[in-house]
Amino acid sequence: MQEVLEVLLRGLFHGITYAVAATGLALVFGVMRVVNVAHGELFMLGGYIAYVLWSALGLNPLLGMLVSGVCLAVIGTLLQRFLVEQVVGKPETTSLLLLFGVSIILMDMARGIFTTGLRSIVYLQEPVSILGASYAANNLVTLAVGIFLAIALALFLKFHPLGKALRATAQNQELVSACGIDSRKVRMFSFALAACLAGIAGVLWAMLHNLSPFTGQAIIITLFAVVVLGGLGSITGAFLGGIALGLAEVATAHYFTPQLSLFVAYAVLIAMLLLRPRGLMGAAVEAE
Amino acid sequence: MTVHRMRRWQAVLPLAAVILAALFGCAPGETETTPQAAGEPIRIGISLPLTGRYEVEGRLLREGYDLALEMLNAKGGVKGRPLQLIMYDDQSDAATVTKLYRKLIYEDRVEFLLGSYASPLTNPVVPIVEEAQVPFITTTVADPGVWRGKGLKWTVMFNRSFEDYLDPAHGLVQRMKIKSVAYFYTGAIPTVVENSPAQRDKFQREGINVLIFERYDPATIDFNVLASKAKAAGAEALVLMGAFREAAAMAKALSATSYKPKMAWLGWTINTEDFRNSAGDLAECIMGNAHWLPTTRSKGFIASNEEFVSRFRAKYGKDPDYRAAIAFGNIELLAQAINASLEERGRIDKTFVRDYLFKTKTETVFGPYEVIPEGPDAGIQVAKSGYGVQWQRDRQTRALRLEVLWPERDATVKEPCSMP
Repeated sequence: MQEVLEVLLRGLFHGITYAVAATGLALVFGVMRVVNVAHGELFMLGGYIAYVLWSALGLNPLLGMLVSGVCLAVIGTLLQRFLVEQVVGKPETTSLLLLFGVSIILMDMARGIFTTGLRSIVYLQEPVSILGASYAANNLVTLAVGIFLAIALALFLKFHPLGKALRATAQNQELVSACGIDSRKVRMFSFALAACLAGIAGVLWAMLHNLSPFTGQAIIITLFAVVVLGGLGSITGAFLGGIALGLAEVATAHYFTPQLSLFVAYAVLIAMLLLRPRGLMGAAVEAE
Repeated sequence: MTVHRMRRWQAVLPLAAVILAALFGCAPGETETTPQAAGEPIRIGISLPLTGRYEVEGRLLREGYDLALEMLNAKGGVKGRPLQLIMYDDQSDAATVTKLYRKLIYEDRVEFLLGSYASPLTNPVVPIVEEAQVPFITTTVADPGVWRGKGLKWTVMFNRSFEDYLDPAHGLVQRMKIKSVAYFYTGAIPTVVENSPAQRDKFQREGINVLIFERYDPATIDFNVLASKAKAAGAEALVLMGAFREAAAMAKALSATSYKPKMAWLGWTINTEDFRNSAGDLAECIMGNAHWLPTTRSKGFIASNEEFVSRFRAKYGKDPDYRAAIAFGNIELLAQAINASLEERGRIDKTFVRDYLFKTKTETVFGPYEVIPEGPDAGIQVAKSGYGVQWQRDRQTRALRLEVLWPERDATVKEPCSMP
């Protein structure tokens, strides 16, 4: 029993970063029908911002996470306003190629500034004992941040006028415009919020693992698998999908072999596309 | 040294160089020729990953090459002839690297070749070089599979063989009376995959109980699970054969899971800057393999290791990495072979240089050099061994220092530390 609990907890800690990052990806797809292939690079950039603040200025990584979230929100706003917005309404491949270009530029920038060497935020690494097993204290921070963000986002989408507008835009853009809601602003806000979530997830990742300019490239497939698992465009689905995939990866590594962990992500992606393309939680933001 | 990039405007460069040469009276690519070595330059071709995935490694190698050429040419080169590197950036791309070596051989007509970084950027080049019959010294390639059974005649291995990487671990396991091991290995490096079963068998022959023997995917990012499994199995030693990303992740996982094996052996990258940057203080008491150390007592054609380290520090303001030592040693070995050719033949004879590289037993700053001279496995390095090292905290300064535990003749400390 203790072993099962340990696997569950490790899976939860592992999946929570996926959950936070994938939520942003699902949000952009839900509201704008844009597959943001640069989301992984925004994730990576968030990690680097907090890393620099921590290593060069000694800023607490939790404060660095706030700064990083704000910076990424600004970057997201600029990206959306000056690039993505220009291709709204055009074929999906246009935004896909555009954002692919952005991802390459961001990765090359990171390579130029930080080199390809590994970076990591060594913070709260002290082991904490829970039910007889040891975990790094930063796992608990990650879990707390993830839960806080999930609740805050759910409340925002349900009660805040902008959140409601966001859901409405996802449902029917024309109708929203006819009602006097500025759908451009809603799109911009959704992209900024998604970038902010990617940035925060990147900081969590840098605390738990390591950062390199290729981190975004490595994680994006997993995030797509999470979004497909949860249901394209479903924020709740993406969050739960992240945790489910984390659990599946950890359980596979623990009970079978770590060699199969990545296979699980791809298998989930393919199986869901074939068997249940709508994902676990159905369609779009309106379902939240 | 001349560094080139493959660009469209590259075709214009020779013309511009000729015009400049006519104007200023110097030939293209001779800008760093020193007055002491004023003879006709000996042209050596190389491509390095100066950009792309392996740019850090490429730059470390380049630092070693730059210093070696600077020191050698300042002493008059080889019999008065300076060595000149014709260098290209292969952008860490295996397809580009083959084009560049063809260009080096057939367009630039270099006399000798040095390898790019590691197997992925060297393996595709070997058939090209063998066909062209140009003496070729590889740099960091550690996979003897490049040579085994192929009877190569122009390509020699400079780095030590990967198959020996765990020798220090085997020695230390015996010395520390360890009875059980958990062994994890990456699935991303073919040599590691092929060699790991032999290492497991060797541990078992030594009476060590291999409790876990598992291959992992390098994209497996939660090493806590692996550490937790090893801890639950009660393994006294943990062996991880993987790249530095994985070693750094495992160092974190050991701390997170409070797993304190008697020996935490995290591969061959623990003495790299990347590992230290990433692991921070969690590197304490981590053990691993080192190819070369600043304290290695060796002497080559250009300098002693002590002098190399001192000059490197003066030039770059940091300690050299083992890759810089390999690059420096590459030039030393080639210069020695050319020197022998000039002494015995009175000219540069490629076949003589080739034979010399295959038959000589010598030393560079990197350490001893000797390869299998002939037969199907010809060219595999057999003389170079490594060190078993551990990060230990200095009692006075409290800083982490890399100490040598194995072999005993080179040991800087007597006992390994226990994980905090």
